Amino acid sequence: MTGDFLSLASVVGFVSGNLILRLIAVAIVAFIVVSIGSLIEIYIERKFWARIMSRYGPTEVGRYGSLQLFADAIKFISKEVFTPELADRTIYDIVPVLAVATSFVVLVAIPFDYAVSSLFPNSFHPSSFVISNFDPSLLVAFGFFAMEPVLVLFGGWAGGSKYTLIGGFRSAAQLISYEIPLVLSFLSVVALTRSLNLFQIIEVQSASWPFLILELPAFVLFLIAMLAELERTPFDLTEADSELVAGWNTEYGGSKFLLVYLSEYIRAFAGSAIITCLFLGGWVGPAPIPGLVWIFVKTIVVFTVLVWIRAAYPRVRIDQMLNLGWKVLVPSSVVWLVLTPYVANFAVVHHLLTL
Amino acid sequence: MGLEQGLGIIVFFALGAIVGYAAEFIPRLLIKSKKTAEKMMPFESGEDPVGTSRVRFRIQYYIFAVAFVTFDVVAAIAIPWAVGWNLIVWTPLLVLFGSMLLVIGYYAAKGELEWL
Repeated sequence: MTGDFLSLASVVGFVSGNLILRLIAVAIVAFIVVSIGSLIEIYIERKFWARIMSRYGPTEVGRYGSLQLFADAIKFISKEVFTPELADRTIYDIVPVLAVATSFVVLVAIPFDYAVSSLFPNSFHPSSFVISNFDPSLLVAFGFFAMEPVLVLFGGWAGGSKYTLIGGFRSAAQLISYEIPLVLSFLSVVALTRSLNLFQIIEVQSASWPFLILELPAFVLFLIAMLAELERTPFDLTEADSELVAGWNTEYGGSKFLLVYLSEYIRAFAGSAIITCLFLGGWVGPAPIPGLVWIFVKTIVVFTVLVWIRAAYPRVRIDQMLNLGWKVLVPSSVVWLVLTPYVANFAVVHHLLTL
Repeated sequence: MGLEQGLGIIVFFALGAIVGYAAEFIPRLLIKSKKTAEKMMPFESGEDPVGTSRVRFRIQYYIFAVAFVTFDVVAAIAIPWAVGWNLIVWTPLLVLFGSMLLVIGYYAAKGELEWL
């Protein structure tokens, strides 16, 4: 064992030479990013939300309650594991695992790996650790994003309780109602850049105005549809506590509930990151700060806005929610999608956008 | 999308599944479970559950599901249009979008989209 063999550069060279090792390295990096992101998100959710409502939030464990999340995780993991008698054992056990896995796959398509590898000097071949730069990356992300209704239905049915069944069906109705406006409103960004690659969308955006301005209606529609897809207030009918106890995950306890909760926050992180990449310019920023900081901070800011919306608005009724989805969001996203080519032409003519 | 991305999806899925599996099944080895009748019951605020838990549910969910499947096909057809709108004829897509809006209008006028 010479010192040369153990040097970082040679380890990086060895890992980048082997496809599987490289992919595992990228996946572990993505997992670290999303874990840190979820921890920050849950802390913001609890503390910022509490401050808006004139409460204190967690204060006891750690300074300003910062270790509360770890205490909660330890409590969840050390709880007794059991399956209720009426539950369908196989499906009941596998749904939380699948929920975490499918929400985590969404991160394949989000260019965090590029942002991380661009931190390191050129001798480590930064671009060889990027896998998110492929063509229909947006479709892959939304494909795995759309797995949720199936899992929610399975989990709700398998729980063996009336609350979980009704909660599961309600969740599925909500998720599929907002799927179409979600797809149509991100398609108008696609129509502007003529690419399904998040990488290229960010690169086009870096040379133009942010799409938040060029595509403001699409941004508003996408944000509303995303709020509903993430099952957050004002659209948290899926776990309306006063009606359905906790929705489809009522019967999940202990470490299984921890997984369900974690998958919810991974989805929230991925959703905020997709909003960041589509409309806010991804890793591009006005100041010479590393791209990772930009994309991470923007994602957290988007999530904070979602928490703010959660604190500020009451929950809508289910008929209001379905009306909004079908009668307002679908028609307006269709109209805006058909108008987008004209916007693109206008933007190109006035040098707001270079293709 | 090449081999690399396909394998990448598999590796990401496997990592997520391993972490999830470990979090779910390792506590099972360490913590002894004491089963009691109350604990194994479905949660209904402490009452004894009445009847089966797999209750019948409203037919309306089915209508939403059918509407979703139909319109999702339209959205899927819109994807290639959005990528290449400067290269292809717009008429078929506009007809599809127009008929989708007409169907939603018909549904809404008939009151099928109301939640009863």
